[in-house]
Amino acid sequence: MSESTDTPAAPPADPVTERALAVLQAAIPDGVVAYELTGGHPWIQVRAEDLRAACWLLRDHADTKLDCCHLISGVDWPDAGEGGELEVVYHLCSFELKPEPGYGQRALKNDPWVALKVRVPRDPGEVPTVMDIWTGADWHERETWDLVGVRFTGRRELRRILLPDDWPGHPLRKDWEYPASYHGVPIIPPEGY
Amino acid sequence: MPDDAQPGEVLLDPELQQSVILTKVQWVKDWGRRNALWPMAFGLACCAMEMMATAATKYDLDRFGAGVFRASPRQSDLMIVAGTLSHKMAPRLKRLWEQMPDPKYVIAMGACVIGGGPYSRYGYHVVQGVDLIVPVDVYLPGCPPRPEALIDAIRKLQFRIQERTGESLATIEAKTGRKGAGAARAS
Repeated sequence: MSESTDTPAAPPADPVTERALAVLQAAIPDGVVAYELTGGHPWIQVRAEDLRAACWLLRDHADTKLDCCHLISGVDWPDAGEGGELEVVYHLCSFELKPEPGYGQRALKNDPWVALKVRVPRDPGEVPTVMDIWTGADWHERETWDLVGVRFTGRRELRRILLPDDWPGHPLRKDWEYPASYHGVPIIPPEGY
Repeated sequence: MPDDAQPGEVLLDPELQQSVILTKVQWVKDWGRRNALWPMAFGLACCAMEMMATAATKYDLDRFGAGVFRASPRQSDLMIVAGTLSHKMAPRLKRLWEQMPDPKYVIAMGACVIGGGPYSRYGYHVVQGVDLIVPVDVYLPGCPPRPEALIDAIRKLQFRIQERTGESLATIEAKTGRKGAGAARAS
């Protein structure tokens, strides 16, 4: 062991996310805003206007082939930027790519995974749809609209999917307030709200 | 009639006394009611799995006369509210309950329908107790309760039916004009 033991070895970068980053940076030079290649769930953040181009690229490029939009999640950041920001995270995976050797260190082991992030201002909170890229994104986008209130543009009608149609607001936003009742049934908020 | 009979005395043939039981018609009605409860096949979440297990062969709810799960509320006496009741479901539950013929009974099965259960603090979408929607006869705690517990709840309900001469909570409330604790109406 000739290496110094003072500094711990840098954690290994995720190979699939690394390749996805290279693909994105080659095709859309200014598109990538930030990225994190190590850790439990590495991610790449792109500009909102480059999102669709990035998604097409990651789906069709021979190096990535992320053919499945497994999950879309929304995050509300009320204190970020001016007037808050909404973040949408696309968890993409590939059925076509084979897992690489030594790929078992992550929580989601054995499968190639990439998390793609995009951030937009909270008002109006509009993100272009990816429904035509991955058809399965339809319900995920509806859920993200339902709970976090992200407006996906360029898709067919954006309806609620889990909550009733006349539900007030988007409950996973940080500033959402508990209504006193819903159709005569009281809603009891937790203490401190 | 024999000449030595006293006024007011009930005279029965000794042979008839061997084979006839005298009782009240009401008692017989209650006996029939409590031993032929027809629950509605209505499950909302994981408690419904225990309800199914209770009705299946191992626990065999039919032993207590309550195993005939009906697919229609119009044929049911008993609504076992098994699972998490969301605000979206609440008007539907109320409507199903209203479609059941009187006398009708409700068992609140599991922590969620008793008072919100694990969703009682931050579950904005969960009704904090089914007794806000319909009157409840028996509360059955557990998360989820085991089949033995559901059988116990049904036995308790059967005893209460006999004690109360068949009247459900809804009938009593309608007669007395008093609402049960926290019994608000949905939509």
